[in-house]
Amino acid sequence: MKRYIFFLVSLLLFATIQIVLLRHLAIRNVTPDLILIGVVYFSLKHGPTLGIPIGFFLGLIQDLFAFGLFGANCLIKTLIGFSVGTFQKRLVRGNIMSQIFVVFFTCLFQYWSMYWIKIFFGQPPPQVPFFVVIFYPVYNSLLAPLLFWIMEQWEKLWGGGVYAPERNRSAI
Amino acid sequence: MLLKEKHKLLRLLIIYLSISFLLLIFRTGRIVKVGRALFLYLLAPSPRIVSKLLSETGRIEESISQLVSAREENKILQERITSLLQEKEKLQETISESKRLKRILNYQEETPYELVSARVVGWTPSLFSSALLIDKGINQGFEKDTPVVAWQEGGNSQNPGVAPMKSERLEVGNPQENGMAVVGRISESGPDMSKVLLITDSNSELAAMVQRSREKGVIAGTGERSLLLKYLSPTADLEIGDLIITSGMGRIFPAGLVIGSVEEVLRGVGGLEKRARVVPRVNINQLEDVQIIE
Repeated sequence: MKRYIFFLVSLLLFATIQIVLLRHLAIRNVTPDLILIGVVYFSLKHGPTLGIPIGFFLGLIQDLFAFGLFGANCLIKTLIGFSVGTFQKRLVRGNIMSQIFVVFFTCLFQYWSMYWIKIFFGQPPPQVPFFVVIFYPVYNSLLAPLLFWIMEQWEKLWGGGVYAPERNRSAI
Repeated sequence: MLLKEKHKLLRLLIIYLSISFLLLIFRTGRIVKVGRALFLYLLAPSPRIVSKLLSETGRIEESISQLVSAREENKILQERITSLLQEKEKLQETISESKRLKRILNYQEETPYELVSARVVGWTPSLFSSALLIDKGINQGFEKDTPVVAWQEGGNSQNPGVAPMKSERLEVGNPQENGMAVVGRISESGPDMSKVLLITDSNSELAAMVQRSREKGVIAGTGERSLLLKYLSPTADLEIGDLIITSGMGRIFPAGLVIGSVEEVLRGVGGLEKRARVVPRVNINQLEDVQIIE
């Protein structure tokens, strides 16, 4: 039960911080994407079984508060939760470089999948300036190690690895 | 055992992907709309509470710093009062002249609008859209396409009322003077929260005109700090620093609201139209409160 409460509180907390606070850290309209980093963190730490629902619900919250195709973020984040969770064993999880690498590529994946989903559903493709397309993954991947550390401390407050499956107990 | 786990995982993925696809396909359907409104209603309080707490903390800090700089501010304000009094006299003269001319021309005035303040409680969490979340919605009588404006304090505090040089690069939120300016329009309303599509969003377009020459065009968001004024005639009279206002066409925004100032004049494709890069008067990143036009 405590496990579910932890994830529910985390989802609400991440979404609230993203909506209310992170705009203040924006550099030329590029805001840190805590929702995406949250999905990557939970998928890396807990595997795809948790990565998929967390990706879906964080994507749903994002869709609720954003404009555009409703359901697109659910789909993208579910896929990110699955793929990052599936490859977790191959990634050196304690390595800062691997955290930067994973976040960088998931940012790019998110942008391109949104582009193609919009085209598939007959919508005009997102008009994002070239600088943003490049700077968005760079900014988020550089912030990833710090945010991963904060999330780990947050999880420890709730009992840390106790809630993680046995094989995933090692710290990210 | 491993195969069983793999099957379980695949089942889980298919379920969640199917739900996502169904949401995408039936996104405009009644059930999805009701579900969205319900979820938004349930989730809306948390950003509102945090935003309120933050603004309270901000106000305490603000009062302390205001106390410290009160003396300096007083001096500046007194100087400003003197210049404003002079300006007031000039304006009174212009108003009476305008009234007289309107009487002569039998001009019918537009209905004045009322403003209702709303607090900015958040920003949309997406790279692909620029929007604000405000704490007013259907319960307060605000629905889709209601215009939203904001009061902008000009940053040119050293020389109030002095327009920047034409060669000077304009900064967002600092074009020429203080005043009310367009922020965007409500694009979705919840019971006590609404999403405001900003004029800077690439999906935003509104009818506009050049205040000085009355040339009409369309102002579009670019997803960046600046806006694009397009569909002007190739011979349009347009200069750097010209004020761009709403034209009233399109019937969402009343005419005469300031949008921003021309930063750069551009040639359209093939020279068939004139375009301009416009800097919005409102600095959206600094917005804490907005006004909704009733």
